[in-house]
Amino acid sequence: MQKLVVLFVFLLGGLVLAQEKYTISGTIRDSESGEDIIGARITVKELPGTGAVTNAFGFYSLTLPEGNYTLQYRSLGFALTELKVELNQNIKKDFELAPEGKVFDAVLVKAEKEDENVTSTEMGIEKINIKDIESIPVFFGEKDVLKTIQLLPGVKSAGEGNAGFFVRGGAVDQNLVLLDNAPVYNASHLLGFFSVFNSDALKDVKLYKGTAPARFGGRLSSVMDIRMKEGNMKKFGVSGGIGLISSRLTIEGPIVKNKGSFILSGRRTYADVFLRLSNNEALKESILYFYDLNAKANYRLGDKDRIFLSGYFGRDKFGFSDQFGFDWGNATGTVRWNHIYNDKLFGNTSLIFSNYDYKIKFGTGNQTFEIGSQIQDWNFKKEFDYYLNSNNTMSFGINVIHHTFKPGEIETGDGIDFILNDIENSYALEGAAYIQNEQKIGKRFSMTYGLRYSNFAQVGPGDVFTFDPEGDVTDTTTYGNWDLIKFYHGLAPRFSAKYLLDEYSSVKAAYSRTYQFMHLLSNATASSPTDIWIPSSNNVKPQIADQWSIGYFRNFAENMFEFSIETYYKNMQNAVDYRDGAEVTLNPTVEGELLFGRARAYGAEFLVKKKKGKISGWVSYTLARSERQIDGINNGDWYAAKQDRTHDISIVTMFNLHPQFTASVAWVYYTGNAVTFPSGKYEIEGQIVNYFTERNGYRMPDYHRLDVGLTYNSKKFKTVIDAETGEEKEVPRRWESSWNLSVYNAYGRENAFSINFRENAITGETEAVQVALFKVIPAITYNFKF
Amino acid sequence: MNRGMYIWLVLTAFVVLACEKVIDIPLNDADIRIVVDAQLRDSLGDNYVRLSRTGSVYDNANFEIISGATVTISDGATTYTLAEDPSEPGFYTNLALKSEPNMTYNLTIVTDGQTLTATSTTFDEPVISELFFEKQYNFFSEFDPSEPDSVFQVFYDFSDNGGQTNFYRVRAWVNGDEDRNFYVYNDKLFNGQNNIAPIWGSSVLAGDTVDVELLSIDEARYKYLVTLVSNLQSGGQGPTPANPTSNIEGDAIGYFSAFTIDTMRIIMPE
Repeated sequence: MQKLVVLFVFLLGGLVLAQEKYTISGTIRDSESGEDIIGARITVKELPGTGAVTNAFGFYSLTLPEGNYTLQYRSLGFALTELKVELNQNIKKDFELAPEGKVFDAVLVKAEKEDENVTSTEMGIEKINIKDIESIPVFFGEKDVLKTIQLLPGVKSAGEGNAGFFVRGGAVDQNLVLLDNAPVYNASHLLGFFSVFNSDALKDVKLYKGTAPARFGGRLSSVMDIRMKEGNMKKFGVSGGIGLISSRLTIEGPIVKNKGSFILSGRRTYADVFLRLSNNEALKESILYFYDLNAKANYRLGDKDRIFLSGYFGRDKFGFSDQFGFDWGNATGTVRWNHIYNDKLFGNTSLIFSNYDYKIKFGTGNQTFEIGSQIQDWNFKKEFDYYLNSNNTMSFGINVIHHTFKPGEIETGDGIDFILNDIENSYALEGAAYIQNEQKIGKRFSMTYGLRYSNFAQVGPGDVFTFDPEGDVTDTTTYGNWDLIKFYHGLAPRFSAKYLLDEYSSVKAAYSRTYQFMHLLSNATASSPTDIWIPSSNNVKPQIADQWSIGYFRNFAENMFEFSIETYYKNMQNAVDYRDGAEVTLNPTVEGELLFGRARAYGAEFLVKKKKGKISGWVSYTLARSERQIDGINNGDWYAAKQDRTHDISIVTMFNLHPQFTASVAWVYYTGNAVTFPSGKYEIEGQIVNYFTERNGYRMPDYHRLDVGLTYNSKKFKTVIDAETGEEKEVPRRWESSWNLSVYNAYGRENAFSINFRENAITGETEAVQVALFKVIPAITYNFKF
Repeated sequence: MNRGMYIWLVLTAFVVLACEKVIDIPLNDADIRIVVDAQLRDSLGDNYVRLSRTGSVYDNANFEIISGATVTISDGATTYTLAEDPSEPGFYTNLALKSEPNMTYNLTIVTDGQTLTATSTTFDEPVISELFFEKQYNFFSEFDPSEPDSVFQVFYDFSDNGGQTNFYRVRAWVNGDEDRNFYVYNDKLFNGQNNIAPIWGSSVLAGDTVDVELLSIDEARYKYLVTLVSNLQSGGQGPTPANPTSNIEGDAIGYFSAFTIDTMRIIMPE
């Protein structure tokens, strides 16, 4: 590891050779909404291969030798804009880009040359344009980023209609899902069929499947970085939608024009409204719904400072009369201060809160039991971006998180005269420091290298158990407040490199190590509200992954087509699986139910994408394996992880055949999950019991499904006669609306959700009974904006 | 019991329009194993050891039984031989044997030249404090007029011995039909206190008779039952199914359990 540090210092040291140079820096925004543009690229016409990219807050900084330059500003979905500068001093230049296809009078040159997939050093990354997901057919008419991301190579759905996902053979809990930097611990609503992300409130979604930047850590498989919109800086706007399942409403606007803005976005389902129509009192009192509330505000304090406040609050509520209640949800909050120290140094300080909890209540009157579980984080981050020169962009920072785990709190009503013991809370401190540099060497070669130091301390108060090999408690130790129970730490290097073969193709390679100190225990295959997070402890070691990947990227026909192949190999230590028949819920000694071993995942991902034209879309194919080897399971042999899927294909096509109509078709196919089926049966206590020989030794049937969608947009412009000149001209309409019609599982494939082996009541013979959840599901949604 | 799973299923049933069908899944045939089903209760002659073998999943349920085995149960002082019932081959019993509290019993089976052994321990006799019921609105009557408007929820209440680590199983019969749900507890959450819980696996109507049996079992039997539940929930969802944890030493599966019980009956009003 020391060698790596030396290498780092050496690489940097060689670069800081003095020369007369000046810096142009600023913020790039959307001319229509005033929102910062993330990932906009600034290139220098006179110096091909030189440029800068805006960070998550739209800030860029570019240092060049003195001279006259033509700068080109570009971003996906925006018109390319040029600016001539005479660089003989440091310049601050904020810039606004106009959305593509809008009527405006600025210097529109041509649409963006979309070759970022080839030229960027990043690999194993998927970006989702929120506008794009509008045209992809969706489940129950609810557009959902987590569903769309499952159509991309290397990302797999956790189950029918499920918002949970597996990345490159990793488990659901190995994805770090961040909403404005706050971790979201359970990203699904209503049994996982919908994600908690209301796409009306979202601006940018990035999924790192491979080597993530060093500023991210804490999960093995992926980082999903979701940013909320900031709100329109220029004018008030209202948008919304009415669907079968839910309705949405978003209000945004300036607090002070071009200085501050806010956005408020809400969504609620209304299945329970129908219950109110019942004339039965008990049913009237029953509830079944979920809602989301996203809020964000930002304000510029002068040129150099900006304050952001953002929050998310969402809950699912289910209750039957007053006898049973079940509700769960996430709350996150972020306070962030951006500061531009100088034209090269950008700083970001955040205080982040994140909470997930669920409550289950049984009984009536004062005869009640309430079971609750919670995980809560307080998180402090200090991050810097340092634009050393046009060839080197550094980032560094620190992060401290305090975790509180409450696995099970039990409350009883006044009418119950005994107390059920709570499951003890656990506490932990997680820390990290990182440094990273993105370096260009010549026109063809670039690399990003970084180092992240992570540590994790399980602290008191609490009882800590020691287990024997059978998982029974042999010893209990009691710790006091803030006593250190167990400390883990390690260095996580990251490296990725790109070599441009020619204008249209590149090869990339990457390596990264990641640590995960928190583990999700689940009593179901798909994500469930009653899943419990546990910290690394004296019994549970952190999971460690090393991932190597290489890729070839090629664009064809003036970047009309994108093609890529990426292969990866991931080696994981301290993988967690359950003992046979493990009890996960309300078990004070749950750690004794776990077994540890190693895991590996490898695969190849192919993607062909057509980005422009009347017909656009992509074909993605993944060939992969995901395996585990754990003493105590399958005689210690390697076995397929549940999420092991050999083949995974997605074909997504969008037809923009008419200015007002967009049609779309998506087809998915994947190999069934690895599953445990019986290989025999026997009779005991008068009951037929299945006899198993190995874990995950069988396969669910193959899954496939076709979804279709049709969107009708109202005309965006109307023709008016200019009062002065008498000429006809087109002006934008204030009210925009669209109808979206979608059919999920259009050919009614009965995909297996579960398969049970049970006796036929009449013949007495054992049958394999498949349960399929959804056949054809049509949905209609109306969206509006003014 | 696994409440999370239950709620999960209820919720799932609410939201989705699931459809079931029988499909063809080819399965391997595992090697055939001996199955031991052995219980020793606390009333005279109320004990049995049933010996059989495993079969193929898709074969009918006429499992091969094992006759002619030598079966003994010892309490450390006396060894009792269980004789095969001439009218029911593979079923072994002894009319002079019953379990006592706080004893250890050893089972020995000799068959096919193999010896199988198992040990089970009894604890203090359990005590049901009371059975009571609540009249509740029947949700399903909303959709199905043939359903009664109200149903009864029967609760059991029993106290735990704080000085022992105890494990319990509750069995219930409604008008003589056994509730197929498993109510299994360890006292980790309520050591030394009462445990009150409902019988939710059967619908109880006006005038019904409900019999409840509380069994004080040992840890091995508890583990067996808990893992049996996850076995019975096997399928594509839910916890990974596995064979129940056996306490039989030797090449066999199954269990041997000695236990003490308390029973109580409650009759619903008309």
